[in-house]
Amino acid sequence: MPDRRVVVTGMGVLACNGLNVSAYWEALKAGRHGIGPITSLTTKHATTFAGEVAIDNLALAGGDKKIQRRKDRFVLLALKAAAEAMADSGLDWKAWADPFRVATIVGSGIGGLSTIENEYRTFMERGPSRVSPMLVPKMIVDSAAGDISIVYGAKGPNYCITTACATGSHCIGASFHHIRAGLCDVAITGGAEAPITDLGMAGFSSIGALSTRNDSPATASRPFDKEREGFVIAEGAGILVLEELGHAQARGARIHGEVVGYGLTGDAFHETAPDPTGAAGIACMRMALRDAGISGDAIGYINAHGTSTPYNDASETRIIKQVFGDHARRVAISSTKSMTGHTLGAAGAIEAIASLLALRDGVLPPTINLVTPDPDCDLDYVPNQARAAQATYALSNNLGFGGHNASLIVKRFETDAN
Amino acid sequence: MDRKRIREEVIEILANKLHNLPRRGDDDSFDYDSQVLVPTITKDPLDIQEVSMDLEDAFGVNFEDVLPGDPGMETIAKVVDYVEARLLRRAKAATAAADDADD
Repeated sequence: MPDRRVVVTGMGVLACNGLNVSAYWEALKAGRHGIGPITSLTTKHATTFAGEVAIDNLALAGGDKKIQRRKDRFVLLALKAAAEAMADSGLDWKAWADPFRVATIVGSGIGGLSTIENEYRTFMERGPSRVSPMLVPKMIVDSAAGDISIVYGAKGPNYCITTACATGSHCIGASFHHIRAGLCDVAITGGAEAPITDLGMAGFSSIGALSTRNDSPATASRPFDKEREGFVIAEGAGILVLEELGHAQARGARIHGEVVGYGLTGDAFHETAPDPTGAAGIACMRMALRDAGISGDAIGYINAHGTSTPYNDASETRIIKQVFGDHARRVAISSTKSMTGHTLGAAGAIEAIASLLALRDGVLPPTINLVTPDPDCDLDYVPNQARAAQATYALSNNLGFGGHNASLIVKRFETDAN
Repeated sequence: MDRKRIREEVIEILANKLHNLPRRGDDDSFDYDSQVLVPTITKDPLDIQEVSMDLEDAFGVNFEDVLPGDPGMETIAKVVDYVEARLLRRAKAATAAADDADD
């Protein structure tokens, strides 16, 4: 095992079912979702509901109109979650000992889609010379990482990873490895997404990926249930502050948990469909277990990708069985997307936070709307009600269009563990 | 459009995006005319790009080689001069065209 351990000292969340970590965690434990009719669009889409974060852009910008005007919503979400995470960490960002040892690795699956749509409309209506100079800086997918680093003076490794729905997991995993390898001591990391736009809704509808249960948004996200028929698109952001253990302890930081393993593979199969053999998903989880130096039996909780699409949930069940063998029947699995919807590039981050909180507080969040058993999904998905359980290790999966697979393993923090 | 109205509109457009500039009426003693746009009011080139486009939209002019804040157009008074000269030139051209049409 490498000498340098990596702990989580700060967390920030914006989700449709909770506008900060505390509210989000209370909602997850209570089995409360945040999905409802779309309020921000007037176009009639095939799917009329989503998981919206109930804060407008001006409020996200703290009432500052210039920030509101110059940032896409996905960046505003990222900045607000970063503010919560940094405050939670207690780090004095105005007096870094060495700002080049502070990384910012924050991604998005799509980036500034609403900005692209608005400026393309301007281009079509008024010509190329009227396109805003803010188009590029607002819409580029790396702008959340850039903007967060500007606010906090973080001058170390800085980039974004874009791997669709695996984005948040990959950003956290890369940050973990950078700190463990000694490249930096602190990382502000995670993902943000604001996909509830006309093109976003139209595009995901065209793929046939979205639930169209318009008469019952509350029960639309139903991972592992036999009646599942698509995912529920949602916006959100999750930001974590990762820190080298000695760095955190030297300043007496509160430690939420530890990141111990990271796996990443690619299906090399299809643009959107997962490889039916699950070979890369299996290899991904095994890689994370090897990286953590533990066997599958040590995992007490799996926060599944669990999108609520017919294919994903059955496929993920199969690959969990292959990785964990008999232990697959014993390990508790849940999909918190049943309550948050699918936040795409933010999912890996907000679900890593759910996993850390589950270990820290000894409560496993449920999979809600799990009513009708599916013979292809026959494991323990913690149905409908949270469960008290002391787990030491949790694994969080996220898989993205393009065949990107990412698995993170987090651990309940123990002071003297190796 | 007379110079007074041009000046008022220029100030309003600039103050809308350049938040170091008070809006008209907020500070009656503020000396807008001599304000140096860069770096006193803003150091951000994106601010300049944005307000340039707003001024172009409002007055139907084009900043060609020189943008507000550049040498030759450092102050708000010089921005007003530029807009006023362009509007005057356009008005003269329109009059000449109308005269030609009458002939």
